[in-house]
Amino acid sequence: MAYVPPLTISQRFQANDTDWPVIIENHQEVQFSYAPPFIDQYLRFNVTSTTHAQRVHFMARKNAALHPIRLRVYARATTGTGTVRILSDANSADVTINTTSFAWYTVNVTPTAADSECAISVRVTTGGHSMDIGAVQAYLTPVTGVDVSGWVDVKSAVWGAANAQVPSRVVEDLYNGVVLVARDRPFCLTSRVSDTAVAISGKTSEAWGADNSARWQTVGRLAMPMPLVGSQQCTLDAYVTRSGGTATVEIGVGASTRWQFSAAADGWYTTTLRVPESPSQVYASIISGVGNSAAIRSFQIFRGS
Amino acid sequence: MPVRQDQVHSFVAREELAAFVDPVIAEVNLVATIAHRHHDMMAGWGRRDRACGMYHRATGSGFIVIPCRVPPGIEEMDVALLVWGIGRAKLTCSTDATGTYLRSINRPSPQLTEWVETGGPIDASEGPESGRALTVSATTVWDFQNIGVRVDIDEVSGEFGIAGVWWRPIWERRT
Repeated sequence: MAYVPPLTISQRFQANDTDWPVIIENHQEVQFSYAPPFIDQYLRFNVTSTTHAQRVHFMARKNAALHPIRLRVYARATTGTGTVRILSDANSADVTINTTSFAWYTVNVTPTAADSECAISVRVTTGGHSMDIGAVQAYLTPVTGVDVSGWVDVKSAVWGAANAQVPSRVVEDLYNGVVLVARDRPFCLTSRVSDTAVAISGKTSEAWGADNSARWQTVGRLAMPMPLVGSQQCTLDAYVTRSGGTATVEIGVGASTRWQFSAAADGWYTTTLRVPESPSQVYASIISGVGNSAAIRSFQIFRGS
Repeated sequence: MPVRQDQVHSFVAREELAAFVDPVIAEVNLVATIAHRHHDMMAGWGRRDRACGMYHRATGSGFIVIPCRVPPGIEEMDVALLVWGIGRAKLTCSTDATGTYLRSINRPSPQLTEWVETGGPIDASEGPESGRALTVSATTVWDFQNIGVRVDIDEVSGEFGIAGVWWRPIWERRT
């Protein structure tokens, strides 16, 4: 199944029994394939430990239908084999990395909550083995069945048949389906993840971290996509690790929007705020405190609250 | 051509009468309207979404792969740059889905002492020497796709980052 562009049909005077099934197929394709990513990023690190360690964290939000979360990882095992595990709250799933050249691997995990804390854990099979991670990506893989969004499966075999008498209800299902899907699917406007194993020493833009600072340190910047509809309410998630004491973190979106919080423990921090109409950049700053260190390991902005 | 609101209402009414009045007219409106609605949704993703790849390098050459998930009908992608510190590099982009050679860019960051957005959703007519961004010419595929934007990096000095991949759907310019 693929999305097919019926761009020419508005030029024609009748929609025949080839155009109509295309609309129905597209309606289904949107439901099962429309899945903007939570994260998608180049991210390079090496793995040599045989013990599982959570190296990357991200949030999967607004997944009311509990669709499976798919992780794609670009990886290779230069020696032996390795395992990449995706965790969604208490659930997890593994994929074995066994090619000596970089290749894409996929694995799905089913979440238990609409908002799910996810992590990528890695290890090699045997001591002396070595695995490289090159990029990560995660998004939903919607499944069949009744959808909580209200999307209705319009059967092509029934309503796409030649000369089928199509009732208004089916028309409305097709007309409203894409909007229901759009409202239902989480949309991560921008994201950035890093390897939590990177030690913080001095100011580092690689890990968005700083240490031994009594003043604000700008540790990272991120670009924002161009909004289409003016300002919008968004959910911001930041995964922070620190050592030695409480850190103060500030996220700025555009010129005038600020989110400042104290990070007394490692983990996720969340807020909602209205993102201005034309933010061009996100920036992150930290006061780690003298003798302390802190880093924003992951950061995501979701549309909606 | 965008669907007007009054057309949206009229098509529903006509469809309801379709079985009794004129099924041809009803179906023409129906198919056209829904088709546009589908495409509007795809266009929204294409114009809003972005993939983000952050990268930092002090010296040396290599390549990175930035994973992207794109909606149907993408024909161009913009790879935007954020530059950190004093950086200088030659970059060449391609997509692993199509293998299409793209464009190389030299001197993206002459003398910069802070993060500066040198890319963004830009006008490709600025040319490869503008120091702003790369535009990927992708083969249009009418399907949801996972691809990787490969960025080859040569002639590096300093430290720089790459952040942002934008794409635009083919019908955005048609309508």
